[in-house]
Amino acid sequence: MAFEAYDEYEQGEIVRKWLRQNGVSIIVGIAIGLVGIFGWQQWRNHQARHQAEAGQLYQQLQTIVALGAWEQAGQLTSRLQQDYADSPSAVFASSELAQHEAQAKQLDKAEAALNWAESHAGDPALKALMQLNLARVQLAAAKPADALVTVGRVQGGLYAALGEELRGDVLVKLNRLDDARKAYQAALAAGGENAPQRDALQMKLDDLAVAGKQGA
Amino acid sequence: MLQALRNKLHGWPSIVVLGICVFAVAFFGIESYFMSQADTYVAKVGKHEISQQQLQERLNRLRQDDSARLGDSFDASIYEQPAMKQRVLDAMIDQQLLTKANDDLGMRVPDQAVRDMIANIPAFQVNGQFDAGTYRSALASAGQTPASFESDVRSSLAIQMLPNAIAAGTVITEADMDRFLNLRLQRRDLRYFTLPRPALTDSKVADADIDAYYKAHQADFMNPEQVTVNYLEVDGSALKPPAPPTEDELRKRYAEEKQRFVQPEQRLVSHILINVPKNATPAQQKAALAKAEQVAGEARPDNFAKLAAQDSDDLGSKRQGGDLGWLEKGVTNAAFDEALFGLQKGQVSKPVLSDEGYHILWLRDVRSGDVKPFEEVRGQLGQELANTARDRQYNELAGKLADKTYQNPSSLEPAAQALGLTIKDAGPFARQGGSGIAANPKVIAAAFSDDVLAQGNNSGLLEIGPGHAVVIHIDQHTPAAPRALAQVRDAIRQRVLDERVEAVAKKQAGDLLQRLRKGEDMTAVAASVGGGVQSVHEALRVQDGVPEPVRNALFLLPHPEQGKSQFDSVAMLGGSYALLAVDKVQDADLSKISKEQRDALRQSMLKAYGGIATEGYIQALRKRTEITVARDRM
Repeated sequence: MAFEAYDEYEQGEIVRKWLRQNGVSIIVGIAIGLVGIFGWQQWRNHQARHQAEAGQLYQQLQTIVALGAWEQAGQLTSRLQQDYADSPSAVFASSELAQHEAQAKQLDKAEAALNWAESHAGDPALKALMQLNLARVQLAAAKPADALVTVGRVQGGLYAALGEELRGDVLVKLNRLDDARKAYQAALAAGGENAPQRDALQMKLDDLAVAGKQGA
Repeated sequence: MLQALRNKLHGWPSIVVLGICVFAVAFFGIESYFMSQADTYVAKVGKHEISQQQLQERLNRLRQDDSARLGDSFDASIYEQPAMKQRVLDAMIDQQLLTKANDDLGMRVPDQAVRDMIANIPAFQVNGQFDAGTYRSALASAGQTPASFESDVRSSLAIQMLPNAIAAGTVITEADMDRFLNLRLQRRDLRYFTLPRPALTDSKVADADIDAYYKAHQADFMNPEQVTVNYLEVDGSALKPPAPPTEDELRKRYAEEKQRFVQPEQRLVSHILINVPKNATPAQQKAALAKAEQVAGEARPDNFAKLAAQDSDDLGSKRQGGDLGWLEKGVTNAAFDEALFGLQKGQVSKPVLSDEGYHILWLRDVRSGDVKPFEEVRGQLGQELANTARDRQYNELAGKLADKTYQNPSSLEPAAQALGLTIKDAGPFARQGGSGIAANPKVIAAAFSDDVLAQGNNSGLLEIGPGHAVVIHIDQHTPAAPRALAQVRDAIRQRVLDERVEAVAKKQAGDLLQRLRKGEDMTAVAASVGGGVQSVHEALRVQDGVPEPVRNALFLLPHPEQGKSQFDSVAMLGGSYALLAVDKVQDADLSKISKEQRDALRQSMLKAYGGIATEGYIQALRKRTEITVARDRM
């Protein structure tokens, strides 16, 4: 546009007119922006507080567990599951409770806790860990077929040392000894020379020896 | 002005000129955004960089810790090795990954945990209780602020948070434990017999055989690389003893170090403290004094401990009956001191006012001071002076030796002449060392170092013991060489014979194994070679009385079917063979496992599998994070 054709008054008029047409949307835009920034900060703060509370409850759980007060620990865990379902603390707490229940031979309870943990773990590495724990409990509950499916759900080759050993245990239970042998060999290879359970693993493998080819 | 500019800008040349100016101004310096900056990190974990300095600090800290822990056996050179640096860097990367994972998962160390951790550090405690003043002064003397210390504690707790949570959430079922126990304590019924070592009918070994063996096993018959060294030695204990110190010197030294020979008087005291707050009102003061006087009136040696437990405001000592232990003069404040050293043994004092409040003291015992007279310590002083003189003499000589041998690196001769030392020699010795000074690892390392062995220089001054040092120079070097056939002929003959026996024994064992597998009776087979069968019912992996090779082979055999034993042969120590059979395999007798044993096993399994899970988690983090390691900057 030929700006130089207007004198100062006319230029002012043009600006004013433009402002009249667009002023409202500018103000509304700024307001929306401010509300957005403020709201985002509030949301972040809320998230941080929420996680901190979950962390505190988890810390409390550790104290209670150390004292052996499992009834209270169960209550605390269900509170974490209900109110802080999106927090990793709730997942860890469920797993810890499951260990106690497995020890007390309440395998269905342990399985339920670990099912919850598996479905609520956001982090894939954490999810995989919960799947392995779940498979372990299913194996103990004499459901090796379920356990095999659960182990198969572990994605992306995570926890190879742990997973392959567990798969071997499950396959032994299913009497698929050749597959079990392969799984144990894979676990040995994944675990490295200094793995703490190496001797136990070698023992499991040796026990599957057949005439002609012994062990690994 | 812009308007004027706009009015005058006509025609394309001016527009081009303006365009160039705009371009130059707008993009000046932009190249620095695209050029790679000089990187200084040793590792980059995601977006976080680990600097050379951080790695170096960590290595230094480790070196200091190890040096303090290991003392003399500490070897500083391993901290310069790439493998060590790599290991430390790997640990730092893992820690960074865990820190990052905490952020991603939204896990934060609770403030309470940080507080608990700090409160439990003994250095910040007074009488077993956290003390804010001690905490601040300890930090100040270490050059840290509470905020920075708290953040250090927080990050060290943060690194542990995920591993701890994973360990706590590890699941081990009773079935897992049964499976382990059934394998570990598996019971196998065993029969075995050992074959006697066969005798050779033909013990002649042809020269051609010996020759061939010698050529094929050249590496077994080598003389190692050896060196002979010349050396100059400074031995503090062999130096001419310096003139004994004179009486005057001894007296002077006694006067200088008198406080060493004085044992000050000590008093064993208990107290009851009646607190007076720092800014107490007169009324409060008066009340405290009244109470103190009342307690002092009641206190006697026999009820002092009870009163202390009841009335004392000193939390540290009230439970110990007010005991403060043995005190010397000048340890506590002046008023306290004066009262304490004015008491008779067994007496209870009147209230004494100090900064903290009113004390009532009970002097329980006195150890009188003691001054050792000059005559008594004269021998000791003389010895010390002689030692100092000898050390000085030794250091001087060793320093000169180091200088002279450094100035003339190609020979020990000049140094020997200048210092009046004789050149001695040691060796020949190999890298395993020899006798005398050649047994010392420092001497061996120096003798085979590039500088001494290849360049022919004098070594540096090698301290081979307290007050004992040498400088070495290579005299002769014999490279590794094969030994002459004549020297090793007998040894080779023996080896060849051993191998023949071994082959015969192996073949015999193989034949017998075939017979057993075909179903011949083991007792009959054993009798045919003059052996007797031993059987062990329910042998365990750790069975006593069964040779180790047999035990190991036993648990490698397949499970036998009913009535169909599995057989194997195994080489024993010393070249003979044994044949074994496993007749039956049973699980462990789990009823014999006590609850304590199960609990202990559960703990160790939880620990082991928790560790593997943590490692797996870190591997998962490594997999999904971009990690660059700059090896050249390490």
